[in-house]
Amino acid sequence: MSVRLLARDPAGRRALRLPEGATVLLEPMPHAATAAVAFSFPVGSRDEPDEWAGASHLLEHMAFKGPHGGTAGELDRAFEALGAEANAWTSEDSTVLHATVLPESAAAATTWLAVAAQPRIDEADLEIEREVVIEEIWASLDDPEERATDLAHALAYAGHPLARPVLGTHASVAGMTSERLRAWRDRHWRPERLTVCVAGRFEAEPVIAALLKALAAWTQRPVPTAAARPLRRVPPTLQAGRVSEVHPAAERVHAVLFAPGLAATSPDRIAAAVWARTLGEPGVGALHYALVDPGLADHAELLHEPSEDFGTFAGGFACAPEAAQEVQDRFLAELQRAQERPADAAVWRRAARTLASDLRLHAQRPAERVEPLLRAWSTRGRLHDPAELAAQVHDLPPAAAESLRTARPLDRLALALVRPPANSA
Amino acid sequence: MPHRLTNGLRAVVEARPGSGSVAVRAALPFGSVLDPPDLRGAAQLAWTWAARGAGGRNARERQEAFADAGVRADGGVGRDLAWLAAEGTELTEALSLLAPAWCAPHLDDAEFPVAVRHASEAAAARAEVPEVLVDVALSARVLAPPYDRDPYGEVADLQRAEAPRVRAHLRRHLHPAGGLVIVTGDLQPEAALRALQETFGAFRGTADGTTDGVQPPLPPAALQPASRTVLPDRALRQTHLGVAWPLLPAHDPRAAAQALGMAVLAEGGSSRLFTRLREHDGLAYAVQASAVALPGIAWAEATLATAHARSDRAEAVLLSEVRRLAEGVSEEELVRARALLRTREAERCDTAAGRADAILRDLVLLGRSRSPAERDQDLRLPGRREVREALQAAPCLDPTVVRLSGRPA
Repeated sequence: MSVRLLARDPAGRRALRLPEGATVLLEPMPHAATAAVAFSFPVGSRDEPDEWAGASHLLEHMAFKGPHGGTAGELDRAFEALGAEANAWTSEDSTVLHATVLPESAAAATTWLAVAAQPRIDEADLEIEREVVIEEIWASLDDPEERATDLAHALAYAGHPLARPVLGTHASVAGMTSERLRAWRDRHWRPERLTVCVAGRFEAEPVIAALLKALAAWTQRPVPTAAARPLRRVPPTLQAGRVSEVHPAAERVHAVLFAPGLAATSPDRIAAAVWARTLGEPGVGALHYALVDPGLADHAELLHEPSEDFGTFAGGFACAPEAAQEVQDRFLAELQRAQERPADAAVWRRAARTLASDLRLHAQRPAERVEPLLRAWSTRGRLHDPAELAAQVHDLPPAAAESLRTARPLDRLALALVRPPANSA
Repeated sequence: MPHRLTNGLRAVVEARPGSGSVAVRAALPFGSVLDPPDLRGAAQLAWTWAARGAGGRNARERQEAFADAGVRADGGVGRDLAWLAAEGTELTEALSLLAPAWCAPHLDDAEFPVAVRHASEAAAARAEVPEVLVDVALSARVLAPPYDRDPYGEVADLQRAEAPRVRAHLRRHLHPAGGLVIVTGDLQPEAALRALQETFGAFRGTADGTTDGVQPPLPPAALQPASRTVLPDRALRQTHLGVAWPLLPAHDPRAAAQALGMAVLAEGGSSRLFTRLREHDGLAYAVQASAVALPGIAWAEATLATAHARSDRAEAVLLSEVRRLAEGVSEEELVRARALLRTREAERCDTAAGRADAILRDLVLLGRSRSPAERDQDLRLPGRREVREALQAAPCLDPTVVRLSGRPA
């Protein structure tokens, strides 16, 4: 079997399928000074049954512990001998290992990421890493804004795995055994589920050759027959409501809110992004001028976040406790106003231009190209082209958001508030 | 190639063909070191007020003009520097929108209460974040007055500020002397220099006759002796630690060797701090250490957060590692640190903004800018001996420690 071309575009981007089943996305950026390489597996917190909560994130932490037969730290040293900034992230729907290197090290970075994606999972390593992840959970719980985000997820997606934090809980992480984590690895981190993305200045052939060689060396592990089965992905139905909690370390009021948006497959997702900016973009949107500009809140925003099978308008604010009711009232009033009449043409144009400008500016850095390339391919099977998208956004008329506006999505709000204790207000 | 505009502003123009954008950085010697002792945050407030209207546009009109032009703009005030920044695809428009903040700030009385609210909100929001509290306390104990002040000031001082005094403060110091302006990216150098002259070259200062329009030089920065501070505990699950010690300043010829040593300590997954505190002992999710510099001085700051019960152990490990650094580094560690820092230098050059920031830092700390090749060469040259000598010249013998203890809620 040979490498198969799945797609290509005039800018030289390519999507390939390797014999082992892995997909490769390549974006040449001749003016870049670096190359970014990423390995992505389509597994995240939404795939985890309750008793597996946090497994994807904990497995990500184990990646850099190294392969079977190695010692802790060897892999980190190998990456850094290349000058690689290697790291990883886990979201609701994917786990990504990535590294940024000088152009001549792109193939070597690919080799080492392939090693990282086959981690040994020793009990001794896991015992340490559980402590590290629990520290990460403590830090998240100490942060009032992150707590508000967790509360908003729990409220909006009650009964759905998206209600849980990606990190899992203290109990679920403390109870994760090496045997279970190996099962999660063996089921989900497989070559046929892998997408590799390389963006920047690099030579494609050595990178592909390195990848083919590395994947051929992966241990052939059978898919576990029963263990580590993921939940079937079901689009969530956002549940409206309000929740409020006192946070002992808070000195400000933090609000996070979600409303139903559009999936990444929707043709109206770009209009949704611009419409959200007419409300929530700093310096452009109505929320800024109602709340931040007069000095009532230190931030107030709204944006649109499309995922593979659902979308969310996500926003929030932070302010002094004594201003909280006024800020909340004004925030909600602006959301209502935006649904009652079409966006002003000048405001729409500004919102579109800031989005187009952001697309162009973020397209300069190879490391910032990885996430949009992976997401566009996984959700729409398309090669992400920021210049094409920026041109589309630039020319989009306000009428593009009319069907969205008249559906009044912002009436169905899940709002979470985190407040300081009463005596600190 | 450095230039002087006709008003004395120092200008750097650097073409980076193919980068697809342009970036502007402008900076003046103005910051919290000039705050009157009873008006902490005066510079921050003055800068916020100046952003509320300039060049015939009010705050909203300015923000809308930036958005119409697709220009991302920003600005701020630190201890010794006030800065403006812009990124976009069209240089002339970015410059013509940015320059009025210096050339023609309105400082309208009606906007003053709004500026006070903005500055107060910004200061109050910081007081909630444990990492910021530790950082502010660390800086206050490492830096000698007047550099010890937090640039965001004190809410109480900001709220009793009066417009005439803040206006006079800004006008006294808003002057081209010592100012810098940098443009990089997809541009034609001659045209860019002309555009700079037409915009920032028109900046004459706003001295109003109460002074001669001559700005006094900033006081020199200095470090304080080491100390240990325990901040009032808070209802947090984690205890936060900050440690600081003096370093060689950026203009010292050994600074690049020292940077390599600091990278061995704290940069990347194989750094000593990450390996000991996270990979080996599992004591912290994140631990950082980096060099901080002002003209003439530099110091290191290391911070971490960990569960209260393990914080004494974490502090002991952290201190033992920073003290051990003066013993030098292995060849393997040096090779890794060099490779990592060279990649970071290259990554800065991926964006016009990254390169503009590097030039600004060089101009402020060294008085000249280095090319990417020179910056890379500085990292290639030092060997183990040079790194050890640099680390021994500024060892961490007696660090300043700040501790913010968590307590169970």
